[in-house]
Amino acid sequence: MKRAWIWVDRGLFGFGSPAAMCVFRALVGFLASASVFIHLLDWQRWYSEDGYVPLAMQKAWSGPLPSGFTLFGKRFAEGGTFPRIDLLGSVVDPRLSLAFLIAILVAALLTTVGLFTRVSSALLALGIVCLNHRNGIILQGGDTALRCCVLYVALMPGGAMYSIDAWRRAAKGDLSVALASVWPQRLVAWNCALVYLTTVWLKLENEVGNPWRDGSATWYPARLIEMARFPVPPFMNEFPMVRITTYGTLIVEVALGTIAFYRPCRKWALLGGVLLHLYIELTMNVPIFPYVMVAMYVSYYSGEEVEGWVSRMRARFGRKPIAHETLAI
Amino acid sequence: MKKVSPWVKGFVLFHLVAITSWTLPNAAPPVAAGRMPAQGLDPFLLWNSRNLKDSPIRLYLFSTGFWQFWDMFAPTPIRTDTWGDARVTFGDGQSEIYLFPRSSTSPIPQKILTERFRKFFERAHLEKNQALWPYLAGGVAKDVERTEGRKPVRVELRRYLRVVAGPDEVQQPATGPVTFFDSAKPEALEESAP
Repeated sequence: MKRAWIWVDRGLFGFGSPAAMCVFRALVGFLASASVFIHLLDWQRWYSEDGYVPLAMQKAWSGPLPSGFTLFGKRFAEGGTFPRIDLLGSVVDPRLSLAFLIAILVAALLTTVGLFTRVSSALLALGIVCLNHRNGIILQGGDTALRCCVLYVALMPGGAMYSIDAWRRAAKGDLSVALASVWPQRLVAWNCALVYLTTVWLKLENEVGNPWRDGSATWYPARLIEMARFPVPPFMNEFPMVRITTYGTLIVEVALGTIAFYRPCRKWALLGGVLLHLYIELTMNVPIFPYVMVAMYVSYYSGEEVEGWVSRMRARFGRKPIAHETLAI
Repeated sequence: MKKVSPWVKGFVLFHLVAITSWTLPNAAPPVAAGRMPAQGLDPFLLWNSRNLKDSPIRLYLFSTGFWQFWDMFAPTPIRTDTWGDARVTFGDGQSEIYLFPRSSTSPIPQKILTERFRKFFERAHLEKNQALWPYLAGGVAKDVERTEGRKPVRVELRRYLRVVAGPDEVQQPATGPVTFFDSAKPEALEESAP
């Protein structure tokens, strides 16, 4: 038992290079910028009293969060409500809503480039959560994945490398990068695996008439005219390709939740995931989601591996490696 | 060497249990209601639903924004196209059709923007969400007033459905328009009153 805990403790709370977390911060910041920009283009319809979703409609949609819960078989705090993080929950002035969206966009851009990273990533997480709580009716998988990712970024030392913060420190002669505990990175990897494994579980749940079991599942989404994006050759949406893409999806998703953690198989599992999402991105209109999922794949690599990769890329383009010393503080 | 605080370790372990518990499927409704015997992993899923999902974990996830459930294309992939429009009538008796942005009629670069409208309408038109309809009609009226400078006196929300035929079936044309809400009806007006 003690040995098992030591193993878990090292894997979950060990220290290492924060490089992977810093790359993840930049990717998520960029995707959050794109997402908030899309929200901004229709802000009046989604976040004002003059739009489709006034506050009263959002309250009718999600209702208050009941505070009652069960613990060790007993009910507690029955009859009350529990607060959500929702700074827009009573904002009716459209100028405030607009200013809030612009502030989140600024926080997302600062997170992307890594300027005042601790503060900007925390504000970004707060902003995205409030935005999602203000209008939950329009959310899709990409929003949920992005919301979880910005929360994880806020918990990371994301500005330690590959950021303006790091560049400013280096300009002052401070080239040190402190080793960081990798638990935020492990949370991302675990969450990513959960996405794939639980969706496979749900897909295979029903035994009778289940298109995931009989190999016809991808037949249907491929024919939805409201979700179509780029056209693909017709044979891609006919049998036997439908069977290949149906079972292929399940195999890749299982691999991403299991053998992707095993280093010899990792590259192939992640490559399968990239191809899966690339195909979805090409054929179906599911914005942001494929990119967020692929960004999460960085968490499967150690910071040292990411640093090595960056150094090799820089060398390939004839640039000097980034000078820094990793400190075990 | 720096060490991770036990408080942080406690939080991380709690969070791992919380997101894992919440994303697991629920036991099938007949099993949960006791009408069918629990088989395989059902006893575990039942225990998870009753003891973990309904514990403070739910409050933690929903208040912080870590709530998540990954049922995209599961258990069965979506197979119905849904879109809608509204007939708006003005005080002088004139009427026109208000179109909600549609992905299928948008150019490819614009599809990213229209996906939100698809998702929104897909949820908003459902009978179980009737409480939303008066607000949606109100939003349409305000949008028309903003763009045309005159306020409609009546808004009828309409939907179109197109069910994708299975591999051995013949594709049927879309059904609609079907009016699912009329702001001129007294019961609707009562619901829309703040």
